[in-house]
Amino acid sequence: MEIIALFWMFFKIGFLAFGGGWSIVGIIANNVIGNGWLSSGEFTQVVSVSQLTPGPVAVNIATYVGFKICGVLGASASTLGILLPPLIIIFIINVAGKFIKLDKERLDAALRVGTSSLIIVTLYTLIGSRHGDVTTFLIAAFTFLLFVKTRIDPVYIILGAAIAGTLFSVL
Amino acid sequence: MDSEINSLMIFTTFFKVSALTIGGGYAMVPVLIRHLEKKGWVNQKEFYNLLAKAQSIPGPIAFNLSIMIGKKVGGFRGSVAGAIGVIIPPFFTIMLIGAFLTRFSNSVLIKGFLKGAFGAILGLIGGVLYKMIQTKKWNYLEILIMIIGALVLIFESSYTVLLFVIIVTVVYVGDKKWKS
Repeated sequence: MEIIALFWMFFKIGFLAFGGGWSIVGIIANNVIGNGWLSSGEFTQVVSVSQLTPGPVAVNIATYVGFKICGVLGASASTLGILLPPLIIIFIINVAGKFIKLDKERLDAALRVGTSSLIIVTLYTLIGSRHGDVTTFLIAAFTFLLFVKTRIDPVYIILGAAIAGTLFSVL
Repeated sequence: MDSEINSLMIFTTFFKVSALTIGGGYAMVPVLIRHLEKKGWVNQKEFYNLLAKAQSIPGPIAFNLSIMIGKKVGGFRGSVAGAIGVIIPPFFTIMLIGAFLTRFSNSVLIKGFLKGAFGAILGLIGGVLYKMIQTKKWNYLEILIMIIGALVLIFESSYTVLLFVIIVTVVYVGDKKWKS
């Protein structure tokens, strides 16, 4: 029955995952720790591992929490749970789009404005989180310039920054 | 669109980007635009329009984006291929090496590694925001609404969805009037 509980919890959280995965790490933490599935120390480890492995952090957290509690079946149930809400909503939008005619260009413009606000909020939240210090912001500024001014694949930029961070932590 | 794009190519592209990018879905956005542009599947304006759509619905951005880009370049089958490609690498990586990594997650080295990657992600999100703004023509009222919207969202985070809908509706309804 824990598999159904896992699925249901991540399914509900999936609907709240608005504006990017980072915004729901806190919600997942409350639920997982509140249900007594993991201690807060274990959850912190789960978040670290989810950042170290490829893929969207929120999905990784769901997969890993499910795996820790119920093995492969738990991982599948949790991952499916968190991914089903966007699928349902995309389906509804596609169906609704056949009946409601909106001006596409104006809709694009409006979504861009709203999304830009959301990204500013994400940046603000991340900068305000406890991870930041002078080194982080220097790396951030350098990365920004590399992304905007050059055509370097950001995969290498992230790797380079991570290695730089590792070196700074030793020195 | 190039008629040679098939579902397998869409799958491998998203699989590769997903497997190579650490640091979460947001980190995948700038990686995706570089790879897709190089292949000529979407141009910058199309990409950032799709990104705006992907962010307007709940769910991980990289997953939503894979469905939308997959659909644009390969129809329904393309969207399925994109979504599966994005999800498979993390799903198996977590189960195979998650337990192994957990043992080291408290080490100073791993913390430094994550801190560096975090800096890069901040810079990349800043870069995505810059491009999001740069690839669109703005009028003054849109800029004003974007800034006020962001400030309100920062101070009142419990009604994000509602506030987002209000921002989008105001711009959608307003744009017609401001332009005429």
